[in-house]
Amino acid sequence: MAHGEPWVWLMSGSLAVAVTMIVGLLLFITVRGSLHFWPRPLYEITLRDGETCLGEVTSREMGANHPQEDETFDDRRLVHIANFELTGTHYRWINESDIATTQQPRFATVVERLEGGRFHGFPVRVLKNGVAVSIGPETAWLKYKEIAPAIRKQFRDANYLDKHERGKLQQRLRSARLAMFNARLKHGTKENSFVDAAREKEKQISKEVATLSSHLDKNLAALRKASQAWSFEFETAEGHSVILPIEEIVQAWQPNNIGFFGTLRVYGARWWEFLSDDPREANSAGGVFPAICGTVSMTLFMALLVAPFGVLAALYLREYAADGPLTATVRIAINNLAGVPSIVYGAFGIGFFCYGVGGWIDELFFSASLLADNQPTYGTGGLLWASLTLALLTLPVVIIATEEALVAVPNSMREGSYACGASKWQTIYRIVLPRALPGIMTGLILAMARAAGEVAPLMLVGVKKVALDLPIDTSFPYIHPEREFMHLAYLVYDVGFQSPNSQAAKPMVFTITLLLVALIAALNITAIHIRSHLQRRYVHQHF
Amino acid sequence: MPAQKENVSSAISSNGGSGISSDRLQAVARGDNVPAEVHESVFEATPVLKINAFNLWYGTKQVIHNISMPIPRNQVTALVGPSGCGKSTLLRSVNRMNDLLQNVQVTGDMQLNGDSIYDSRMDVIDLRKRMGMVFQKPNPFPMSIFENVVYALRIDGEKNRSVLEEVCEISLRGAALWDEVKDCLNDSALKLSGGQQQRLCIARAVAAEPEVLLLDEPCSALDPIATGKIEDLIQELRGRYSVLMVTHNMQQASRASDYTAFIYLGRLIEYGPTSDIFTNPVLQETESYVTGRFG
Repeated sequence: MAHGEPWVWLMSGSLAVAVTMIVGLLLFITVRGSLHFWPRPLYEITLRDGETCLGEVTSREMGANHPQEDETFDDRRLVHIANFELTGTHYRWINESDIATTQQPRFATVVERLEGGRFHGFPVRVLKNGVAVSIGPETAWLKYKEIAPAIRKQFRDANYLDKHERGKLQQRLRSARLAMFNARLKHGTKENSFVDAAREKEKQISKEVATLSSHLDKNLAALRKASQAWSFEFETAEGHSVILPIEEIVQAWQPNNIGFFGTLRVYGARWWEFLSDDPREANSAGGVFPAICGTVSMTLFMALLVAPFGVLAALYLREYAADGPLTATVRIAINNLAGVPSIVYGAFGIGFFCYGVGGWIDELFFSASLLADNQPTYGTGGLLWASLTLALLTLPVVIIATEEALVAVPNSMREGSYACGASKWQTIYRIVLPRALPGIMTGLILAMARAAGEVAPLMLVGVKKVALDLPIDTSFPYIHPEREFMHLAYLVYDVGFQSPNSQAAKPMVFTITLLLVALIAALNITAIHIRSHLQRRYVHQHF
Repeated sequence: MPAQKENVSSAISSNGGSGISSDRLQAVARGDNVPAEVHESVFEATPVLKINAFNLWYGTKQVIHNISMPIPRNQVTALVGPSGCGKSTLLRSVNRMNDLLQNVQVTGDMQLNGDSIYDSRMDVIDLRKRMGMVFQKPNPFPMSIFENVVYALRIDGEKNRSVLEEVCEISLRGAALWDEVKDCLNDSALKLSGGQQQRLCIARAVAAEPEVLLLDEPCSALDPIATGKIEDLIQELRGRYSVLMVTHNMQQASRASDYTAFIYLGRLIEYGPTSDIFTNPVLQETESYVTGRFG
């Protein structure tokens, strides 16, 4: 007892429980999240009543294990049968006792389509303008493999052109329109030469844009015609014939026919699509690139905003403010601020930042666009307001950590500086702050981790279910803090709980969570790396 | 506080039993005013710093009682005395470091080359720039060796690289550190050993050409070899700088200083040339302290 062994056991036991829970959760997320993209074999299942279906077995359930005793189930399996337009469902429970035969047909093909979910079937022939080019499962598949990349590229090019070129034209039209409204605001609504000139200009530009637009349409039509010519005919397990346009096939693979390395390649390709592409089908398929972009830019923006704020406040509180009841009250208030529910910050953010400050900015600087489109620019949720709201949310963490770091600066260093004839500010700026920097970084790391995982306030101040225009892109002025954005943590909520196709969405939730955790870990590791660099430079003392 | 007094007096009376005179020390412990024994030769040297009837209180507790003493120019003056006797406080009063503490009150004055230190018109930042100070524990700043040395110039806004480099070299040579660090001036000062750090602090203190160099037990955190190097350095500084140092180590005081002042419970007891204090003190009490029989 005197040596404290029971306490040591208790302490190590507590640590073990904590570590087990954390590691277990991470392991669960990692396994479920990373397996989602692994291509699984396709089974052709024939039932006793003659029905057949082709699908992936997603999970099995033992009837005996079912908790509800009054409902009796046989052993059964959940099969992802796809072909929603024919079957009316994506998944189906099949009782083991109903199954007559199960086999893995060699040419069974999984097709990921742009719309309508997955398709499972057997290749029949590849068509060009309705004429068969290659016939038979093997030749058709090889032909598809050969031509698909070029067709997909054409399709993407056409889409890019459509989006960007048309976007540019609309931008021109819009700025001309804004110029007219500006002229009207500046010189009055009564007819005058400025407004007339702006109106003339607008008319001229809209004429130009109309010509350019029809040009663009022609080019697009030509591009589309080339890629639309190709299609792929499949036969489902039940014998229906389905013709799919090749340009709308995102990916296709034959899981029973590719071997280990082929599986690995498909796995990599699906991950790549997930990381680099836009979402499809109400976020339950496709990629999450806009959400990655939004999460990272929001977190970094928040760090940039909260760091100076928090550090300055802590400096004043610790170095300048005299100790007394007022300082103590302020300190307690800051600590309490850390316990305010985050949704309250969201409500404050939308009221103060979006409608208050944002509305004021709109009136001052964007009155023409308010008039022209009846749409707010800053007066609604956006990256800037979300970052500011989260900066406010994480401010207590940064202030408290900075204060701790300032207290930890040895008094001997300050005295040494004063003895050299430095003023208080010089001492703080040259000695205290550099020395406290690693501690300040710790606060910032905690703040970033908290902000990256926060959902509730973001729903109010700028996160959208789908926002494909990134807050940072290649169009002037490159950073668009007023834009609404997507966020991974919100995506977890949206896909997990708001998706109409919950079976398909479930594994996606794990994958997004895995990605979010990895992203936060990456941000933290970067910050910790910077901190240890600072620590080596400013803190470690070798004797 | 009365208990403390009692302890001290009982310690002294037990010493007194072995035939050592400690009348004055007992009187001091009782709180009586005891005149300081200041040797005539101290007044013959030209002073750089004059302490005139200086008193200091921490709150209601008086820790320095009416100390008056001149500090000779370009000589090393050592302040010795038991722990808690106020010698460090006296040293920190010279560059007004005690201003940083709350509840400190002073009366009397000090004069640095004729300028009143506690005058209300004296800018304390300017005052500190005229002095250099080295502390008990080495306190290099979290920056490069070079930036440490030229810190005082940096805060004055000196930007000329060649001036800074020159001052850096002269100061480091003056602190006998140049040969060891000349190839790594841009390395962090925190990577140096304790003894090197303390010499760096001395280099930093002499960089701004101080009128007085204040050393507050500069060797107390160092091993014997580093201590020897610092003592050699103090010997070299003698003649170029006026040094006022606090030390616990009698050998160090006798080896390194020209004048020694014995302070006890905030009062100056005896002050004179080091040789006299250590070999032929006027007071028995001083002899018993410096020979280690008391204190």
